[in-house]
Amino acid sequence: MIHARGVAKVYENGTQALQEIDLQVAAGELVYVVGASGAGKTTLLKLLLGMEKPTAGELEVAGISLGKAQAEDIRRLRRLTGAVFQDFKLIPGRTALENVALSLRVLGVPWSENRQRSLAVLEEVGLADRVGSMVQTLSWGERQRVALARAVVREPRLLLADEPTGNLDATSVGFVAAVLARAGEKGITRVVATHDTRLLEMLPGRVLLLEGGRLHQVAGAGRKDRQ
Amino acid sequence: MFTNLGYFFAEAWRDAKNRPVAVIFSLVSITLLLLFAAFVFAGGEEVQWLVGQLGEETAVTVFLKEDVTGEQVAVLEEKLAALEGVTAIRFVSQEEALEEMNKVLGSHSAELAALAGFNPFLSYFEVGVRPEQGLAVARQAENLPGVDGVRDSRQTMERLTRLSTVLRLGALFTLIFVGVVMMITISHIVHLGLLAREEEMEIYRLLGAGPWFAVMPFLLQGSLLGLAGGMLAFLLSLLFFPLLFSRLLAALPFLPLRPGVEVALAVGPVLVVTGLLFGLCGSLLAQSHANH
Ligand SMILES: Nc1ncnc2c1ncn2[C@@H]1O[C@H](COP(=O)(O)OP(=O)(O)OP(=O)(O)O)[C@@H](O)[C@H]1O
Ligand SMILES: [Mg+2]
Repeated sequence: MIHARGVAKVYENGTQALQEIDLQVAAGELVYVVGASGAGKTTLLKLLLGMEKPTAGELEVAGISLGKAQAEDIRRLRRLTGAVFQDFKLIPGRTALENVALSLRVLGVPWSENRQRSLAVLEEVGLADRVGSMVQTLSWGERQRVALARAVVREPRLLLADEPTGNLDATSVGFVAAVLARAGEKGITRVVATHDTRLLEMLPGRVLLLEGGRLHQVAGAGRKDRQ
Repeated sequence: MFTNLGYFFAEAWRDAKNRPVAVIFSLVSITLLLLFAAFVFAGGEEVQWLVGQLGEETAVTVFLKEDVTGEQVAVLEEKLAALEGVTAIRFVSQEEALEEMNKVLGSHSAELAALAGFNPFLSYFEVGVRPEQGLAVARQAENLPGVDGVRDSRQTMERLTRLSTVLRLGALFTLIFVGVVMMITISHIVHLGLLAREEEMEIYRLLGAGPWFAVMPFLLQGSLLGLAGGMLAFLLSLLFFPLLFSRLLAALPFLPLRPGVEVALAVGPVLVVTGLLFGLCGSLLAQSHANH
């Protein structure tokens, strides 16, 4: 699903966020990316979603080469990807349900099916009683789970999650772990940036350590986690 | 695209509700612009209709001198009948002329007759002519003895036709002008809407939406604004034209004016289509601005 060779990212201001990244992720795999703040976790996920372009190396996601991707290629990649952003990127002034449903609207799913699926996923993340609430009135942890629901409702081929449990208590981490596990059952490839050891314990997977923009394998090397 | 049509309409409406003042303001200006165009159009329509009406009575009116005798009238009638292109002749005596005048013009006959360009106190021949020979007949009749003057309805017609052309051309330019101003108005309001949504549009893109997804509600909004403006202008012209034209008719009773409702109905579709078309163009303009 993901093939990276010698990938580097230097931002316009000269910051070397990533260097010499070699990474192979098989379809259906669960990969955790851990590392200190500023290590480059978000940058890596941004590259995988085509939000930033690699400045060196080769990066291919779902058969789409991101070094020379056209707008149409990136759109195709994003349509088969579900992403949880570190800052959520929810639309204020809309309900939790509307935010989640947007994910399927973009894909052209009819409203009746969309509504049903969106409500089911919101229930899965423990927000059944919050579906009609405006997202800006929700707590941080609730917003985070709305963002996760928006990412998984489309049953993507690839799930990218940037610190999806950063603001959650143990119960909510359990919801997230369950959602990630179920996504695995559906064969969804998952890349999760986190420093949350609770999540790592609840749902083991391959762990990669980012340190100063370089990637090191830490645990579960070569293992294909399909649970 | 079509599965989301309901959603796009809802979004268009939602956005309009969020900034009612701006939307109402632009709706009012679009309506007024189109109403203005409607008036110019109505003028063109009216004159065109007048030409059609007058065209049916291609005739030369030959006025006779006041002191003309019955014998001279008979000779003149023969001479006129002999002219090429003449199809019919009718003699109208002084008394009959006056009577006719009073019938048509009512109590203001004298003033109005002067306005219309002929003297009600003369007897005259109404000479039917083949249209293409009207001018020649008029010229020859002028030189016959006992003739005071000739009024050729074709001259009036030609003048009216020219006026009608000018008015229709004017209407076209007005429409273009109105369209451009409308497009600017609508593109401006759509542009503002798009700007206010920049963050949302970025999110749409991250979810893999195509460029039209975020823009569709605004295309709908712009088109509907134009359409609504067109329909409002239509309704207003249905209301005002009969009023205006009945006033006009009261002032100029001898003009065979087309009823206001009919004119409004004729102009209406133009207004609605123009509104819709330029509304769509305006929002397309705004979206191409936003995308660059
Ligand atoms: N748009 C940008 N322009 C310039 N530098 C950037 C940009 N985004 C990130 N960086 C820099 O790149 C490095 C990696 O940032 P990144 O956000 O990927 O870290 P992170 O591992 O996600 O950190 P955190 O755990 O705090 O979220 C940092 O030094 C950061 O300052
Ligand atoms: Mg980060």
